[in-house]
Amino acid sequence: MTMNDNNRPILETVNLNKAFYLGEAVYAVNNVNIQVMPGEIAIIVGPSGSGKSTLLSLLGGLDRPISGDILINDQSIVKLNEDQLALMRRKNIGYVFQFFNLIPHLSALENVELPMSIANMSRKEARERARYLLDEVGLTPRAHHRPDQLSGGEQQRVAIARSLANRPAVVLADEPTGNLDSRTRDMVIDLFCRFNKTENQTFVLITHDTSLTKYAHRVITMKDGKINTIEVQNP
Amino acid sequence: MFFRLGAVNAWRNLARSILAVVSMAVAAAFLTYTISLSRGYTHEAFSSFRQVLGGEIVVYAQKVQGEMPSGDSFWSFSRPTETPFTDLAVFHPEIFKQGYLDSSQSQTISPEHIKQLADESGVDGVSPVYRLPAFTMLSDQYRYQSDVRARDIQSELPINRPESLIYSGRWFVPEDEGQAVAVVSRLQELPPGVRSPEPGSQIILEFPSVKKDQFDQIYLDYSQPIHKKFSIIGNFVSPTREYSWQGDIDTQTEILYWWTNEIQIPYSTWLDIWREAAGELEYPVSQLILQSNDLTYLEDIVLNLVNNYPEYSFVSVPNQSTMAMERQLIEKFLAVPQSMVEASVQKVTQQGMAMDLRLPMMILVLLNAALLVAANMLIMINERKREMAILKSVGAKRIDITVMALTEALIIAIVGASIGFLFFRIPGALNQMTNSQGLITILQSVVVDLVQVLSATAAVSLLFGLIPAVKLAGMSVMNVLRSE
Repeated sequence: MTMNDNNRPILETVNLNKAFYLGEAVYAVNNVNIQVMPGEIAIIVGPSGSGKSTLLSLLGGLDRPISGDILINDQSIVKLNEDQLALMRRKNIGYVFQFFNLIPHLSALENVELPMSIANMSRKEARERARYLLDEVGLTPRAHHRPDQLSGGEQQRVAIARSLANRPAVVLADEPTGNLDSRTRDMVIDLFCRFNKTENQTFVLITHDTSLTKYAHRVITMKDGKINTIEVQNP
Repeated sequence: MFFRLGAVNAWRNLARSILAVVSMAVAAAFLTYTISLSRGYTHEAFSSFRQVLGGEIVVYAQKVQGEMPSGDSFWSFSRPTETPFTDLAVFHPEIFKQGYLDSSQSQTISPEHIKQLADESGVDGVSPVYRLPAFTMLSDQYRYQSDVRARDIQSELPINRPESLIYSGRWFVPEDEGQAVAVVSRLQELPPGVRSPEPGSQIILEFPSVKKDQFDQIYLDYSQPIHKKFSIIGNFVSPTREYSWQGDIDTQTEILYWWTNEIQIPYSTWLDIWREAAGELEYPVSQLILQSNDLTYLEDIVLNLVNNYPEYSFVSVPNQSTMAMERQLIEKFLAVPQSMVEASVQKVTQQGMAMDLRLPMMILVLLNAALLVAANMLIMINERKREMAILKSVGAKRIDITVMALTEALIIAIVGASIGFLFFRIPGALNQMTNSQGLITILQSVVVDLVQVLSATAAVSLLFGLIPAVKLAGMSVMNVLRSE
């Protein structure tokens, strides 16, 4: 994980706006100001269309705001070009998607190695870390299976291992439990909590499931693109 | 990583990849065929010159040292009189400027080398050039310097006999050996009252005696000439340029012919004269004509000879003819067989011109294959969108995605081109082997062909794959993930 002063937010937005022009401007993210501190689990909740996913894509540099700023480790990312954003994502961001989004023709082990290969880590080092992470998520016996040979929960655990591969500053998870049954959901949430505790990993999760908020240090509620409430708590 | 992903993608869509590979293989096969043809010459290329000379490669005993400072800007056929047995004139290496031979070097080609040359890769026949200067007497008052050359009637290949250039009369038959018969170039300009030597007429040739001086040097002695009467059995002509000018009424055109003062006689007849003129002296062979059946690799054969016999000069007749044509010293119609020239003259109603379609066909076939690769890539974009989004989300740059997509196109091109190349080139290599070409010559030509074919197909594939690849790399991750 990138070293950070614990008193400074690891992720911060300043008056962030994102609009889609459908005849008139529709603000998916409207003047959003949030802060996520290092080692926190932040959960963003809200109804469909409240702008959660759009906010997450902005935080990860996958989309561009129309105004405002996003700071990761106190560094603005909104003015970075495409290639600089790609480099920023390599170093600072891990992604977990609702539909897992693993490369179908690579094995679980290779999928976890992928971000490290892209970051030019040595093959040996990447393999060792991938094995360690798969072991951590309990998938060592399934390391050489392809995604279509894994269950939904197993695929999501591979995706979590992949998101942690390059020791990112923040892992952004978009509905990570939305496609899972309750037992698997609990297993995945346990993993987030475990990595948060053991590796002080910062997570930003988006979910419909308000029952997950009990695991969060910070609960951000969104409605109509705006921040409704921000609650800071001890999970 | 991205190369590997590209390779895996090509493998994953095997059916579509095979279709593109087959298309590329067909294109590469056609390309191989075209390159192979364009590297060499067609069977009858420049046949008129090869027929007059008697072969495809001219060998001079000495190295050509440079250019005579004559400033000639035309194709000269004059022969330096001071070197009667060693000349550059008939077909000199620099086609429009005369070179000169270094007299400090050996002036003859040894019998051992003649034997060795006959065994060289791609050489199917060796004919030493036997010649002797003579005065041709057309009347009591008119005579001109000519050059009597022996023709090997028995062993010359049909393609090297100037039968198609015979304007009137005939070429030699085996029964002419030892007879006083001659074939001469049709004369263009003669003084009034002097008849051109035509078939049925006779000429008297005045040969010098050939002697050796105190320094053991051969010289020609004209004080005691030998006179021989010859019957003319044929005239030959060889068109060189079509010359046009604006006349009083319309454009006038005249075909200019290659005139040579050479008088061709059978070898055994020439040998009898040499013995009478020179006694027991050995003829100093200073020029050879080599025959080669396969003109496809003629330049490789010549290159091999140049490397093996650095002391001699080797001249590829088709190559020199091509140079002359490029310099507009001869007209293009000489590049096609004489029969085609005649046919085009006879068919006055023919509107179109004979075209060499190899290049346009090659481009069309290659273009077609490239379009298939591009179509394949465009389909691939739809399938790879999600993969691209995942790769970008974990930090891949646009260039990485482009490399991944282009790798797939490149693999298809290389595999296809290799298959097509081997399909066409292996029979070609076997053909080279049956034409007694050495392994090194064959390997050299195969490697050069392979590099050309692979480069062309890879370049075209990359070019046509680039737009789909860039399009894929430029897609928005969020748009893709939202739509999936």
